[in-house]
Amino acid sequence: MVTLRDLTIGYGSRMLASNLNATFTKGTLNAIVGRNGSGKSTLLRVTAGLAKPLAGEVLIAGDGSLERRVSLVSTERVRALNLRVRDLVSLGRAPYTGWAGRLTEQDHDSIDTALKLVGMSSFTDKYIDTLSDGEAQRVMIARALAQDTPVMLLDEPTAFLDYHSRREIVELLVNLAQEQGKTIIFSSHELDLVEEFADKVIKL
Amino acid sequence: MKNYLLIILLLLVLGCRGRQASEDEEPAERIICLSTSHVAFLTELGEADRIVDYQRTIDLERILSLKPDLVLVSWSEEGARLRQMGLRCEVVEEWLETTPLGRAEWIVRIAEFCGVREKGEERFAEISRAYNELAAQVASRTQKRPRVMLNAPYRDVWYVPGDDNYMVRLIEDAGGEWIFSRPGSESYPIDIEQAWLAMQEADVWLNTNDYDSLTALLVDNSRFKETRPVLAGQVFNNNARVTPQGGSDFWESGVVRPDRILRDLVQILHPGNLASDTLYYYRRLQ
Amino acid sequence: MRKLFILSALAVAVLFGLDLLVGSVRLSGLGDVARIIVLEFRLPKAIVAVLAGAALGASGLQMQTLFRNPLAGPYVLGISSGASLGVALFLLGAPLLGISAAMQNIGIVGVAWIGAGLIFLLIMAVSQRIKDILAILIIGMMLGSVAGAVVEVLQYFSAEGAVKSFVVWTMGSLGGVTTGQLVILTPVVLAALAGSLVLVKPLDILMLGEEYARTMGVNVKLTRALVFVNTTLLAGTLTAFCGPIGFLGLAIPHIARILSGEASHRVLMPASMILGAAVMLGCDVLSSSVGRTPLPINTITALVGIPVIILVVVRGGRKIW
Repeated sequence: MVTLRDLTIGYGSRMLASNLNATFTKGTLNAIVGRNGSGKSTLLRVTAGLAKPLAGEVLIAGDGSLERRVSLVSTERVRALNLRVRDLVSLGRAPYTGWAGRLTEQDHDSIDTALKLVGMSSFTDKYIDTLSDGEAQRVMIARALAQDTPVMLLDEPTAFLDYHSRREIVELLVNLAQEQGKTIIFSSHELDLVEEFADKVIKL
Repeated sequence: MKNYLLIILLLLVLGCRGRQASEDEEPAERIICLSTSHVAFLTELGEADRIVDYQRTIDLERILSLKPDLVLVSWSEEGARLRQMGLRCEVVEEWLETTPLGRAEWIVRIAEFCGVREKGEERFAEISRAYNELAAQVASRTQKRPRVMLNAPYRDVWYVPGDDNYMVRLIEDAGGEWIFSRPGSESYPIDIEQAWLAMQEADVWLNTNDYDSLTALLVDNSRFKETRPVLAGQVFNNNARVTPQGGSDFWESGVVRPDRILRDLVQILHPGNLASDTLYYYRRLQ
Repeated sequence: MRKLFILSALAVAVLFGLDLLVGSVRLSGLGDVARIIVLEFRLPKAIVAVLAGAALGASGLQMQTLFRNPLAGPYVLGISSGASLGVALFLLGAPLLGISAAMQNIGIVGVAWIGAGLIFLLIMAVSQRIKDILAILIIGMMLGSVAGAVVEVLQYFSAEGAVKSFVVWTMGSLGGVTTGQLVILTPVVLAALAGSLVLVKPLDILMLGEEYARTMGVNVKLTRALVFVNTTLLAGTLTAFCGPIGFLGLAIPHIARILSGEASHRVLMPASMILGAAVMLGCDVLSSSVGRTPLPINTITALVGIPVIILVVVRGGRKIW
């Protein structure tokens, strides 16, 4: 569960949105919509703990460190040499592994599950730079899933995808919310998909 | 009209050339030196007060503002550049000579520039006489030739001279034996292992770069602590005399007075051959 | 994977032995003298080669990951240039200005370290204020260029002998390290290598980018600082004792990537260290066996490193960062 209380966000001297109050409950798919520059990314980053709010606060239920409660899928495309799909997804287990990052049986199970949920199990050994945009997006979602957090934030997860893939991603998110009980908040331009699938919509 | 102009032009050209020709023969009163050994030549001649300036790197503006009669350079390229500026330049290439006396002989040429050629010839005669007498004296005695090691390494690269190098000549004339053998006069690098091996056979170690003390030398070269010259205390460096500019006089007045260097080397290699035993350019490193 | 490590370790052992046997002096039939040559000259050199190779590999890898640039090497932060400046001031500047006495005691190694350390402090200061890692990279390179320019000015005004000794220093040498210096070099490099191993997990996560790393609990600021410390200790120390040794820091991590096919630093870090040691020993063996005088080590590392770099760039058409 995520609560925004009197939240004012912006950067520098520029205020983007003020006095936001909202509660996002478990097992819901929530959307943030607005024009470019209206603060959608900023709101997600503040919620993820990457940026400080100008005023107010974000409360995320649960105990344990922030990285065990919130995971983020951003717009940044990951590029790395020699990195395979499975390697990337396993990085999501970071909050649970030891100092060297060694993976246990349990970690491997989480990774397998994550890949299955996004439908990328057969891509395990492929190098990430050989993936299409849609496939890469799924892998990034799998990584966030492997991080096993009750709250998942996604910034423009459907950007740069074709219509078919966009639908698939949103349907996947619905699934994750309902079947896995996660609180999912994503930002989007796609008003039609948002209206069709989102339980709650925040307009900036 | 055209004819008049042509004649005036011709006269001007001839006039300029004429001036240059006569300047070449006039003794230079105001000289600029770019090399300390040239300063040493003039000092030895007693004509040092003709020097108006000494420069390590060419400062063209300063040279031009001083209006010298003569600039002494070491490379012909430098000479060409300065001549283009209308300066009188002479190239003194004593450093190309491979024999100690060949280097010293340039004193005659420099004396000529000053218009005192006879003085130069006289001085050179004295120097070469002293040198040759001493060399003959040493050669006449049948004594063992001590083996000499030269220079000190930079990190682990050791530069040594070829056989025709003037330093090798000096050692041989002083009754010593240069430990390596390779044709040519240039310096070449040897491996530090080979140097160490050679040091096992050496009796004397000379010209150890800039080191002032044996301790400092061995700090940087601890592997040579147990070599023969070090153990016998036979390590000498040629930086006993320091010039006002901070260089070693060995490379300045030493160029003009190889007889002094020879004397030093004879004292080092064959102590007892000579009456006195004070060193001029060299000193024993402790 | 295990096979790779075993083979690499074997290669290090074999090359180490070879490095002891190869040199300009033929050892056969020399008896006691041979023993001295091997112990006093070749053994320290071989040890330095192992440490240098491992240091270059480890620091190159960290630089490539931190800056997410496959063409980064240990010297991009200008640390080696800082060391060079220190040495240039010692060999060239001091005689020019007449201040030798004070520096004699510290020696070349000391001033090189101080130079590297100063650049390190500047980088740390910059890193506090500037978040963008690319900006830090550029500033590091600019600092390096400034140091290089000052060095050129010093060379211009210096006497031949001084310039020659400085130029020889820039050619790099593994054999110029005395046993006394080795006693200092070894623990410092070993400590920094250990410090590099400790960072494998944060480095792995950094592959995703600094934002993602933060969402996964990595203290990016601290990681950066530790990487800078490691690089200064590895590249700075190495330059201080051996002069700048180029190309391998860039090439070795790529060799490790190509041979292992892995991206994780759990594999790449130790692999870069071991392969680095092997490659460096190989370069030293090569430099000692070609001709009567050893070639400067930088020549060999260039000949080895450049083809690897070209291979990476050409292959990397689709895989480049």
